[in-house]
Amino acid sequence: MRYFFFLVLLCSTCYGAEERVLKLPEDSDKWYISVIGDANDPQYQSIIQQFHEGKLAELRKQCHYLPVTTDNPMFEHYKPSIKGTPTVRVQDAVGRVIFEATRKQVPADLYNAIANAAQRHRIFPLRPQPNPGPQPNPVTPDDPAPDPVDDGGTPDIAPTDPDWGVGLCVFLLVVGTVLGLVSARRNQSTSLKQG
Amino acid sequence: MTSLTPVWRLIIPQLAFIVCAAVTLPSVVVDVPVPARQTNWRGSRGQGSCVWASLVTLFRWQNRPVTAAWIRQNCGDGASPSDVEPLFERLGIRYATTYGKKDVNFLNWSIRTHRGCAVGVNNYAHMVCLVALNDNYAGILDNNSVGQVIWIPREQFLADWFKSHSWAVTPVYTPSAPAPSEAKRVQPLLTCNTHQ
Repeated sequence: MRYFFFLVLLCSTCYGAEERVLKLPEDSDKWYISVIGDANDPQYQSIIQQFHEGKLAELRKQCHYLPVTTDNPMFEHYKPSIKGTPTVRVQDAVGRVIFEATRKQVPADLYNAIANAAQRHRIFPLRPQPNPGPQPNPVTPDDPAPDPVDDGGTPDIAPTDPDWGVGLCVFLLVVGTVLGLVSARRNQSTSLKQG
Repeated sequence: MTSLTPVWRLIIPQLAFIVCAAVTLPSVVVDVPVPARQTNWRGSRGQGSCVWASLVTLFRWQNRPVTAAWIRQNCGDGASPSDVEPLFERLGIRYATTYGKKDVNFLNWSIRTHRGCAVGVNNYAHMVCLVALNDNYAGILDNNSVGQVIWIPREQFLADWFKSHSWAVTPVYTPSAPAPSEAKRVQPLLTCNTHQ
């Protein structure tokens, strides 16, 4: 029985060496991170570098990550909707823009800026829960190494410092609604007594 | 009940058709810009290269421009799975395919994940990109005429695909991001051509 297990493991390892994808990734819930810019622009290069380090690298692996240079044929797809280069844009699975920054607007602390934007997006929940899956990582000879294919959904992202402003707004909104309802109920009962 | 003038009797059914068709047309999820749509070319044996052209378009859409350029430069002529699969495996290209199984779920998956796929059509004589699919229509990007998406009734498309050994193949990389707040529905009367 033990040998059978090892045989199965060996076969599955050999089978996995082929590049044909046998389990189709169900990653339609993934968000998109597009970094659009001139490959020779130092700011673009710096942003790309940031997405390969620390928390931004973790975020990148949970999303569809798309570095698009101006000489890429797909640049035409992004060109009509950007204000300039470099642009960092984060979109949810259906294309809603969660975060976008261009040129000097791109903050130094990019991770927290994206995380705060994602936090605001989550207050009005429109998203499925994240569901990370297996992460095979083959490499083609020419293009840069692709990010792994997995079934991950919405990225698991949180700001390192809480966004108190948004929280306070929501709290005040809830308190205001409750007070308004109480007030309306009192007025109603008063008018009934008068009637 | 008020009676309609003859003009309105003509216009109202047409308006109803336009509205119904607009509602039933799927979104073009593989929205490749025209310059990135690879047109067909003649290979060294003088044959069309529709399989490779479809794949080049999909590689571009999935942000693999160097692989797309390599295929455009080094591949050509007619091709079958026995040409494509060994090449992809030799190059270490990540791909998914189906052949002879009438696996409509494969098509649904490729559209659901915004990757699209190359599909055999015209009795296995041609290959095009499937860029949209719902219960009513299929959207096709033909490398012989890349200017616009061609809409075909779903059943007609599937029947053609089944006759073409239901071959479909696609790279499995990162699909391009959807355009933000883009109106993706196309006016049906302008684009509802048949594929033949």
